[in-house]
Amino acid sequence: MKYRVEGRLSLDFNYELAAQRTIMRVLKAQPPLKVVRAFEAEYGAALVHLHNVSGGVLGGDHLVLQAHVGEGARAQITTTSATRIYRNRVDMPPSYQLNELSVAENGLLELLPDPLIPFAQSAYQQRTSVKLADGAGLFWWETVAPGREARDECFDYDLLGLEVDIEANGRPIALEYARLEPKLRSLSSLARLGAYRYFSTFYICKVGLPAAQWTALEAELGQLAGNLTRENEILWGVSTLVRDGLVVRGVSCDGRSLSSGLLAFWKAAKLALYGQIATPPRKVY
Amino acid sequence: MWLRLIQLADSAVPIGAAAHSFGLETLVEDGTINVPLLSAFLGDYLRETGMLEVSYCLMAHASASNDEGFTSVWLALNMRLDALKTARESRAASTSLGRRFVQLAADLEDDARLREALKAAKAEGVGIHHSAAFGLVGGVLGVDARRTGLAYLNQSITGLVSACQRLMPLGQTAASQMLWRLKPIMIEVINQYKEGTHAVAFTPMVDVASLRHPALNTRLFIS
Repeated sequence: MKYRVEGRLSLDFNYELAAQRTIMRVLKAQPPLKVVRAFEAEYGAALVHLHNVSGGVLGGDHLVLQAHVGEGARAQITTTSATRIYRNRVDMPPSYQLNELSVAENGLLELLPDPLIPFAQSAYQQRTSVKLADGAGLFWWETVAPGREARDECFDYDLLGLEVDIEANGRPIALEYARLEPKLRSLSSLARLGAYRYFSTFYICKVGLPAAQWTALEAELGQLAGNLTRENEILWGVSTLVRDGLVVRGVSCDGRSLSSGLLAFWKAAKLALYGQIATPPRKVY
Repeated sequence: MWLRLIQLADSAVPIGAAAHSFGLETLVEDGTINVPLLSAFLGDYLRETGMLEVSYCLMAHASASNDEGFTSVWLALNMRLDALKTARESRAASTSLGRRFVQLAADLEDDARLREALKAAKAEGVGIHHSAAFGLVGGVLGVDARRTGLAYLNQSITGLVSACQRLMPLGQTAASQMLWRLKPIMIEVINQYKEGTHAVAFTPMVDVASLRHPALNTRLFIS
């Protein structure tokens, strides 16, 4: 079956010595994916807002986002609003988004999107692949909402597939393969989300740092996780990955406290790893 | 050979499984699970984590008969498990059990493939995960894949139930009944395994519990 829309956005970020900053080049922008411009951000970074001019992901859409951050370059990518996954027509395959991201030596990618909101009867699969070279850094969070809570939607979607594959110097450091089908397998199971409805994952990586430094950062962020945890409202946890990074996970009864928590972890981790202040892209969290 | 695998599949096999709860201790401590809720929890745990683990068990089982590329397949499987297990304590628990399991099997059965599995993992700095270790040993012993996978699921879930007996008021008979009732789910899980596809798992509560485990004030378990 032919997909209704095949969108593709390919971005290249390179550090230009003369300008002392990162310059974005748009290699391909096929609707509905679009960027308008890159803003100059702190520490020579380029800040970019991803637009989906459809207003969200429609049933059957097939979207590809590619971003390469060159040697020493810094890119901060965010979205203009939550990613809405619309109801799927019965004759359409699940909508699909492929994110292919790579960071060259000593580059830094901060991918800080707004939450994903799968609407009732939506079916969506997302695969994100990140390849990190030596010295490359990554701050990437993702939050998934239970649906449109204002309409009393909670886990009314048909399918949400989430795949993550992060490699550092060719070796996998974080893999996730999740397939959420709430109508077949209850997400309220105590092995899944229990009484919580929102969940977040935040990957913090910098390739080549010694294990001891990650252990120390795990302890520091673990303390923060303890401070931010409120039993029966929001739970946070932190762990070192097998190498080159950390994962922060949170489950919550509401989305807002996850957003503010992610911001706190980002600020603490960026200061610890880069000695720099993390500046939120635009908005109130 | 089946009898030998039964010996290794016993929950009392001396590899240190009794020291690990894989995050359950946190869930019990914070009141998320208790005796009435335990059976349903373990059923879904089997359907998610069990499915993921048994898929690696079966891939490792197949690798035992791969004469050409055994070492690279074996290392790749374990590296992927390293990356799938994002919680440090659970990852360390799995590699601790896995290494001891293969070592014990190698001490009992003189087999070149088991020696190679230990040697290659050590040389490359890759952990040996419990599920992969169990599958490899089943393959080396010539036990068929399905029986090996079921034996692994039974061993791992028996270990968790045993941990729960120390964490909550769960008696011997109730624990045995629970394990008895979970057998059909183990069969359901193994029947759903599809070779060549990614097993999927979604267990944020268990993952977060494992991440929070180091911060518990008092702990009976290492993980």
